[in-house]
Amino acid sequence: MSTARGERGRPVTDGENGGSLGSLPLLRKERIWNGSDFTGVNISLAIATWAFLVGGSTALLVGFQQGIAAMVIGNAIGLGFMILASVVASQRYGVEQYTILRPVFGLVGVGILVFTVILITEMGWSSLLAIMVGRAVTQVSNSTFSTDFGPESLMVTFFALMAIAISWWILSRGPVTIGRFNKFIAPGLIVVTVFLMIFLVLNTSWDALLTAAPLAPFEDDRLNFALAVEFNAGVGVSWYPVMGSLARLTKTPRAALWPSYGGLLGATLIAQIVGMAAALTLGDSDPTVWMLPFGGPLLGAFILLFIAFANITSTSSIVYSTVLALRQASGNLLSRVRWAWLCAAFFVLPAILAFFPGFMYEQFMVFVTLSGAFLAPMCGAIIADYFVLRRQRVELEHLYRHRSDSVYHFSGGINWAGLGAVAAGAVFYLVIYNPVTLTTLPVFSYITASLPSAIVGAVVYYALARVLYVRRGIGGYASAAAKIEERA
Amino acid sequence: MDSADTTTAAELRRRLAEISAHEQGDPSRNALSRRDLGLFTAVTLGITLLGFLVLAL
Repeated sequence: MSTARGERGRPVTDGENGGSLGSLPLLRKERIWNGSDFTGVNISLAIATWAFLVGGSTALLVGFQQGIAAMVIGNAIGLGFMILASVVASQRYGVEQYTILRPVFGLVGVGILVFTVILITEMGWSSLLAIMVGRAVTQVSNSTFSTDFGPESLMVTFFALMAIAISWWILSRGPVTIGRFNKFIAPGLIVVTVFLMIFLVLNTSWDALLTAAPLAPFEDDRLNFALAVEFNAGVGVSWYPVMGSLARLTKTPRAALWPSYGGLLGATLIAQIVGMAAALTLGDSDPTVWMLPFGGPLLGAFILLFIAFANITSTSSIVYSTVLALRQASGNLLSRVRWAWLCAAFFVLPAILAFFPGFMYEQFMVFVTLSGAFLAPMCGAIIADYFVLRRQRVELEHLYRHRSDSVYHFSGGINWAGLGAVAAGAVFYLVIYNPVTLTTLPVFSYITASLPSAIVGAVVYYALARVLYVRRGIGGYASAAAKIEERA
Repeated sequence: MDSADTTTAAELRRRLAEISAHEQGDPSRNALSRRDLGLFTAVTLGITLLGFLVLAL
């Protein structure tokens, strides 16, 4: 094994290193979650304000019944292949999810994906959550102090920047502080969801919900439904950046697989459906607009402030895993940069985007589907690698070796089959559905885009890996197969 | 070992040795069984079909 570069023996504080268990493989005694614990973790993750936002945005395209169908289909498919790609290998080997990706993309290849796809996805989400805070606080101000701040006013940006600053402060304190806040945020959001349900029951009827027209649909009904399914599939896939690193803390493969699927799917669907019903009832897709009409000035303002705070802690949670990934993926580059500075650097782009609150809200669906265009084929390539070519066997020690000492070095640290698969899958996605120009091929209305592009990613990966590496004995594929034969 | 880690190479060696000596065959390190994989695929397809059922009703 090669020796460590940048090796340091001194103890470090929680905030200084992100308080993580690093990329090292966890031991049995460090795996602390059984199935029920992990279900709770996933429910806490899924019951977040972004679920209301997704529900509200789905109502732009389709009515209540079609919306439920789109949410069920989209989330079931998106979460299905995302979980197979992110959770299973990290759980088995107890390894952080971007380290376990090295056999699929190579050390440098993982860095390329983390610094592009993952970084942009998480920057977009954190910017959106911060703007939601700005909108929530200005709503409270308008209601309480009779101010007249619009949804795109400078005050929205001001409070969004405040939210980013507080998120950074929480994040720089490390995961213990994040966990402390999340302990009461998740139950609080369950109460908010129940509150919305009660007010929906009191303020609307089943018939009214079923007959409510979508808020801003296109002319073609079939296309609207396909877009809603694709949007929800993109939301399911967008859990990818956080799931593997959580799953490695579980005790068995079953304790990782079923709770992540059941917890995320169940809680997401409930919160999204409530959000969609609220949007259809009030005719607005923005969750910050719902609370005052439903709860009145006092309760509504309290809930809005709670949502604002919940968004801040959600931002801290997602940014934590991303910054950790950036540090792991950068090799020596960022290993000496202080944790707090690294977190601050992450927030630069979200802070700039906070100056365009209207744009971010309007482009929310575009951003989610566009990130799905890259994450879906990534998942496809990972599934083909781990389940088909390696039969769930990875050389643990080689994940940590450097350069040609590792069988996962490939050429220049890049597994070209992996990057080729992501590129091919993303191009396929954008050809059948381009979320920026909204051009679609007719086939999109029948098969949507995420699942087909994941399949393209898997097939391209399998073919390229066989041609480039398996036949030439590169990449440790053969040793995985040999060990399986040995055991047989 | 990973240079981004704040722990030492010795810690990695210690962990690999412990896993190799004591955790081979431990339930925490089992592969996902074919049965679970098949069931997971079936459940995913089933829920997807349920979505289409909601649409058809």
